[in-house]
Amino acid sequence: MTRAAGPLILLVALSAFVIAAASQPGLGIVHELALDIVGPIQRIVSAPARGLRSSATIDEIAAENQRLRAEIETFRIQAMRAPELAREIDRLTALLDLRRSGTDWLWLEARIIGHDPSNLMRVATIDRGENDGVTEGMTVMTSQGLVGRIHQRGRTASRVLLISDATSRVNAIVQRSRARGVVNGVRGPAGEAGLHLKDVPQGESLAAGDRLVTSGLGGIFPSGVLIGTIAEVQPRPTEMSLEATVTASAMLNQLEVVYVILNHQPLRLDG
Amino acid sequence: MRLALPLAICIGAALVQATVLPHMALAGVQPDLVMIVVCLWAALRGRAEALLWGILGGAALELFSGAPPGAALLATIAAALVANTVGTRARSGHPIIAFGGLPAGLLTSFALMLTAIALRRGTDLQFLAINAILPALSLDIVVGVAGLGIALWADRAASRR
Repeated sequence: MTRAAGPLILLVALSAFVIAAASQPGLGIVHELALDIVGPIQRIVSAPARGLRSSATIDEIAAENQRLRAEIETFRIQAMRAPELAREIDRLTALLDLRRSGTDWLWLEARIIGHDPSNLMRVATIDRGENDGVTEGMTVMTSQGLVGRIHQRGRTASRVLLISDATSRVNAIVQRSRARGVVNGVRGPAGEAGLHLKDVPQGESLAAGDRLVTSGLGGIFPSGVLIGTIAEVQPRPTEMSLEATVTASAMLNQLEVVYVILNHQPLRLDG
Repeated sequence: MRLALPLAICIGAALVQATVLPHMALAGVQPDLVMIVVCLWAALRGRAEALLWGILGGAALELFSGAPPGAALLATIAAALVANTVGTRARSGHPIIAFGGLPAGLLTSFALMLTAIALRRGTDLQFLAINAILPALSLDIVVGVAGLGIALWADRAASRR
């Protein structure tokens, strides 16, 4: 015990320092350092780990497959945004020269290299960080739809808080009826990543099959990014607001490649 | 008590938990490998070792965790101490009974993690408890049963030294 006392005291002091330092605003250096250390290791380990889900392929086919998939992703993104862009064009035409920002997104492709070890959090680690221009709060998506936002970033890797995390909140708008609400993450009974729409005022129109997009309220996410589709509207006649279960458009449980929107900076009220 | 082996085991387990196990999740949950290793060992060994493994396991989880800073560290230390307390008392009967330290430690860690997440960001505790903690706890206990033989063997080997 005497021999162990020295290292133990050191470790207890170190953990106390880590907790104290990390809770101070602006001292996220601890997490940045951790990401910088584990990011490269996760990148190496995650490569064979991905093979657990899909069988190995020949290099050339894999390369061509990757190129084709990138092209499809681009087309899908354009197609996904089309209805919102059409509405925007109408609005712009009506309001003459009023211009909205955030329509020309600059993408950065990133690979998922790890996940949060806890079953309580839905956080993924990507292989892009400060060196690639990634900052906290940036929007992350796939061609299918919204994935989440940058939660912590290191120099070469970052963590993404997925929209399926129970602490995630996304301001949403129903594409058809323009009803507004908030989408948060839930876990389905079989563990699938699900979403829940709430805080939609009574009297607004919600129906199964309605598409939900980001409203842009709050300034964190750009407007018009597809979140998901309403699966079921929950009747709540005695409540002030409507709720619905939502199926996420992005395959949140099977993410491999995502895109970070580089040119939409989240608004910060603290300056 | 040497640091190198526990440190290597904890970091290795955390790395596997953060990179490999998510690809093999059952019903959306994966085994909390680090917590299982720490709690099993803490239940079988003395308090100083439990504390050491709790700190090392927590620090390893912190490296990969997106949870509020310090939450994983505190949860793992507390889980190790609870597992040790329950395990030590139960061990007066039979070593296998010390296995009771595992669910006790796991429950402690889940409760603390849940509190840390809820305090920091606010979330539906009941929802997470039913949909995330219950299936995760069940899976962890099953994996723990499978690992108990290894833990008992390692305990005997360490005691002989």
